[in-house]
Amino acid sequence: MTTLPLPIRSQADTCTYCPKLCRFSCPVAEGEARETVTPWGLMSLLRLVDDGHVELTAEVGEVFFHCTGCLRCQTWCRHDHDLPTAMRHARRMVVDSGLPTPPALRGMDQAMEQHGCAGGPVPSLASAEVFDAGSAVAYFPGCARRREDPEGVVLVGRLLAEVLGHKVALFEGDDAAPMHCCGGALEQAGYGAAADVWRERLSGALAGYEQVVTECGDIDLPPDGPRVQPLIDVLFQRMTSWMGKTAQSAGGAGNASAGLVALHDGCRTGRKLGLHDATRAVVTAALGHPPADMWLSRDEGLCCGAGDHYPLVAPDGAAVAAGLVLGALEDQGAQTVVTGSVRCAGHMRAHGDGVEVVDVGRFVARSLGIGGE
Amino acid sequence: MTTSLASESIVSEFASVVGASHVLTSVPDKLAYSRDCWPEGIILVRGGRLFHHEPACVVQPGSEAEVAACVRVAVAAGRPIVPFGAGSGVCGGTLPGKGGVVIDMKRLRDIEWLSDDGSLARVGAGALGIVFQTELERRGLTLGHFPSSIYCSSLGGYMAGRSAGQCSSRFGKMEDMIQTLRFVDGRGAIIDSAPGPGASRWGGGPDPTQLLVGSEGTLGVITSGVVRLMPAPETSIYRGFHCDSVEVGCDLARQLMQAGLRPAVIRLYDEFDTLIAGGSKRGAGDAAPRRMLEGLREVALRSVPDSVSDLVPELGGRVLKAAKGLLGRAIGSPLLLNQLTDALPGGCLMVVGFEGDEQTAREEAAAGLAILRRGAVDLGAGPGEHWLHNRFNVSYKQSAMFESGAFVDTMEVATTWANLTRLYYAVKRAVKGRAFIMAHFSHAYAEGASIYFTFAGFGADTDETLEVYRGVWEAAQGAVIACGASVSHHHGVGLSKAANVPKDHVGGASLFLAAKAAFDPAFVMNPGKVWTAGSLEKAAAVQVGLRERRGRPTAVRDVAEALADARRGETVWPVGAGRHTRDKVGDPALPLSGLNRVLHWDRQSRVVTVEPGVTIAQLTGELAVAQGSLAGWRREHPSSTIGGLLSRYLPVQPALWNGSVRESCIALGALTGGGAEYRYISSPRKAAGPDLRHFFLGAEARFGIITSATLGVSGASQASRGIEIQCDGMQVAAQLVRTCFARGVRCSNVLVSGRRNVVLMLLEGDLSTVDFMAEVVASTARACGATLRPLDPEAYYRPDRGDVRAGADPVTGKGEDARGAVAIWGRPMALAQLPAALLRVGVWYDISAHQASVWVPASTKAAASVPGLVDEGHAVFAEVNGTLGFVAPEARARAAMSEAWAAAKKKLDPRRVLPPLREIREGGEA
Repeated sequence: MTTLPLPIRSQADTCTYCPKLCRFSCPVAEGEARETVTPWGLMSLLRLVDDGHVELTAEVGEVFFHCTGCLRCQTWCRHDHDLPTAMRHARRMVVDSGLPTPPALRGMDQAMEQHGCAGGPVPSLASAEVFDAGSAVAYFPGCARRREDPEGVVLVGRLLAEVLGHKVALFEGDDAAPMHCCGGALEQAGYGAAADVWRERLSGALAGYEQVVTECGDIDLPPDGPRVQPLIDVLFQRMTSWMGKTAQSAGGAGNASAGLVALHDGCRTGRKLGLHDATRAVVTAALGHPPADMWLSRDEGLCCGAGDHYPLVAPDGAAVAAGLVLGALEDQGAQTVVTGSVRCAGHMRAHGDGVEVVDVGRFVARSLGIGGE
Repeated sequence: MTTSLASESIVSEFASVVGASHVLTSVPDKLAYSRDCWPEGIILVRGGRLFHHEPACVVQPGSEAEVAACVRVAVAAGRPIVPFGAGSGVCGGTLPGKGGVVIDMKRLRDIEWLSDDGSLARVGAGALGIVFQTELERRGLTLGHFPSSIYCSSLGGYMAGRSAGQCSSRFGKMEDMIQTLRFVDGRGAIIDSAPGPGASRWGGGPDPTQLLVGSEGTLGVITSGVVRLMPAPETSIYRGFHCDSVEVGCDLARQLMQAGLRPAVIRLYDEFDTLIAGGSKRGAGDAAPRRMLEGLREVALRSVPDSVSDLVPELGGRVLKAAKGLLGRAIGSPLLLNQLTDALPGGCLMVVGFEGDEQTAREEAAAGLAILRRGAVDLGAGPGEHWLHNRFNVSYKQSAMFESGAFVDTMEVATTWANLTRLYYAVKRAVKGRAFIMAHFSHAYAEGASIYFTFAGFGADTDETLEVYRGVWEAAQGAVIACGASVSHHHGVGLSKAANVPKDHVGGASLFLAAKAAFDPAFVMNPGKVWTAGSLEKAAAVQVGLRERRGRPTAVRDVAEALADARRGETVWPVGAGRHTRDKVGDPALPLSGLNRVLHWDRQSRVVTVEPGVTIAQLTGELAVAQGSLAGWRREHPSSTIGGLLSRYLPVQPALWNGSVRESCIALGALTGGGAEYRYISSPRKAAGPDLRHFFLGAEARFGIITSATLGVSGASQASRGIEIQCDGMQVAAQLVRTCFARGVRCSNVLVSGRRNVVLMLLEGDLSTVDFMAEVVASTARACGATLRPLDPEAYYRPDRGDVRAGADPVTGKGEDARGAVAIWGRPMALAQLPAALLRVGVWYDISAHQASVWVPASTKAAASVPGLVDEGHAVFAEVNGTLGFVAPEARARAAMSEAWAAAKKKLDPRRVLPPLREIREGGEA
């Protein structure tokens, strides 16, 4: 008798008997060069655990954390399997069984409670006057931006003010209960139950806003929660309000990136949220001409290995995945790459310096002369 | 429950080589590497039976040196070694057994280099097919290898398995695509199958490339290969045809291939496979076939006997699930279903595709479609394009079958045209009562084709399923063997078919043991695969009975007797079997001219079986009576014997489709020096392990003597067109010829005269084929700024021409009369950069898209400079006065190859009665 939700069990069955047709698409399989962590390996292991043929131990459970959640496998899977959902459920099984998670992920639930961010404390922000706490529109940066790029938070705040015509509020929860993360990081770390609770709380905390603009690709609030809109989508829908003002088109320095500018399709903004076209339009407006597509782009675009804590679980594999993307960009002659995801940008910057890596928010801000870089 | 099969010491030794993180011993890792895509393994996993093949550990080397070190560690520990690519094999070839060490090659996956003219690339064995092909397409190139498993299989797997892709009828199989490869053998030695990237062979022995290709890890771990590339096609023209029956379809396919056309794809689906593909006369996607399938499922369900449905719970649900997943493949009562399909409206779908640049694709398609329209109904582009856009989808369908509790598997076999439909019906009859079966015909050649059977069956539980599954295979393979066909065309043999390999290579066990002696004396490389231990144990030398010898040999027995009669220390020199310089006066010559019978002529398949002493002149005459011809073989001297031509050493593998004698050989009989008889069963191509013929082909009788050969020949030429092309220099000439071949021109002969910068080309064969190729040549010449004029075809072959190989001008017949020439082999564009003095006096020969040879009279000053030109960059390989010179091999590699061939020689010619091996010298000579 299965303990898995029916769709996941059904998918695991199908994957078990498949000759691993999606394996080439998986950044983890390529990064680690290992059968065990191909989508087939992960799903067939899950099935064997569910059947009781393999005992769920810490060693077995650790394998389920080797997925970036990029959904690239789904591009080629004729069965439309959802591996990230299956793996997050499997990780939840590990935690619920009381088994240890990968060392780097342990204690994320406590960090979340304490700091509002699964990765630990977030740095303080300068220039908080950019924001208006009373605004009906909230900017929820997401933990990647908030923790790893506080300067970028301020830049995007200014950008939103420019685009929307008014300041926005920066949502961080409150001092007693900071909230910098959507809860996705908890779920990806196996703390599924805690993630469910967190999402409810976050949804409640955001309920007072008319609109929430976010750069978080993992946010997944209850359906009756507030309207959440990705930053790229906001920029796209309001392009007429700002594209004429880009410093480049106005003759200023702006986004004076010499050389080829390429676009990397982030997995969350692209395959998950379907913002391929919007991203291209926004970057085109900021650049003054279309960016170059990578040889493999849109739903076929390479995953850099940044998602689902993979760089913490398998740093070497994540480095290989990033290297494959950066290598492809260098092969193409790109000097700058714009990516839809803040997390991707940070991850790729950490693994290569041959190409300048910029996220969309910073790129557009730069094109408007915001930030003075 | 798994047990610890790897001692701590071996794990730590591997860790010291590859790093601890690349030695895998966890339960999930061992599980993942304990099976490939062999359906028997899937059945076991479905039944919860795990760890039947549990490796001791898995190691992931990151370099060739690490692979070699890992092999040495494993050998020292007495552990068998199993190379692993992507695990997509369907024959159990990568199953480690209990305690084996799996060497996962996926970290060696880079494109290490790409030649500046885009004709060759060295790629790591761990590269996945689709990733490599995508990189090539980015550069406007293609390997031309598109197996259904391209998403989930590796280059190393292709090489080790002798795989084929869907476009093999144009681009060939893997063994045609490999120039050289690099491997680590069972001694831990790193060996290049040729001493330089552009050269193809060592001078001292058989072609190791063709022994390693198809060896499935039993002779060494392939680490990388140099593969031949082609320009990516600009145009694809795909179409569907309705044929009344498989007989009609097969005959049309045969006509297409024997007309000299090379479609990228030609596939004929039998009646039921056609129904599933939706290929009715009314075109793809027609509603009628779908309604028929629905009705078929309902009939099948109603017709399942109660006795069966009582035993199998939820049969109806299971049948429906399987059917839903696989477009109506209903199971439960295979005999009934097979009978139903036999009664279905007849008609087969043929999908055909032509690819190339716009002109070539269009004109070849026009010629091909004209042939097909004579016997089939043109369904238009729809079915062909539907196939093209869905061609990798079929593998997604197998999951549903296994989920339903059934099994599905495929069997790919090959034989000549004359035997093809007989094989088809024989296998169907054998399997009929055991499983549901359907088939398509593909991978067509001028001599024959492959049949790809799909069968599906059912058992009540795991044990019964296994019993049914194994019974189906035994019956099917038995039928294949009874028909004299090859047991595998491209999936390989692995574990599942290993017991049947001796049927493809009769008497081949001693040859395989010789290969093992050469490369894996400790028998650690993938034991039990390709050749079973039981088969190898039976490898006693089959001594042909002796009788008193009278006169020259006229039969194989006479040859065997001559070998047996050789006195101690005496070497027997087969005459007509290679250019030897006899070491000792008085050593007996063994003339093979008495073995001069044409044994069999198969008109339908256009293959002829001959004894080795048959000459070109003799065969030309006999074929003319039989309405066949040798076409391009006329370039060989009339007195050359077939045995001599096959045994002659060539430093490069024959080019695909260039009509050489060597490339035309589809079956072989031979006698080893030890008196064992060997027979390679006739098949246009196969994947039944290493190509053991290469102990004889090109081996100059140093291991054994060829006693018979089956060769693909041409039909009587309808048209013959000679073209003389004046070029502005040798660079232009080389580019022109190379481009013609890359565009798909297949000429029976081509020469280039350095003296006059002239290309002479001869096109012979079917009228429409000759016409379109002449157009392609003409357009290529115009694009190169060259001028054309007609050439009398007979003038090409005129006897007073002189020996072009000696440097005689092929046009005037005048020039140096050299009883010896210096020859250089390499890539055409690299050769075009040779010093002007060489180019001026050279004649180009053996030309293809990837290689050519330049022959220079030995007496010229230019010739004297040739040995100094041998270097890795140019990838040249020179022959000077019978001494073969090549890139100076690294000392260890030279020693490894010399030892390998010496060990093989000892096995096959223990009394050393045959000519000795060429010595591979330090300076790169043999």
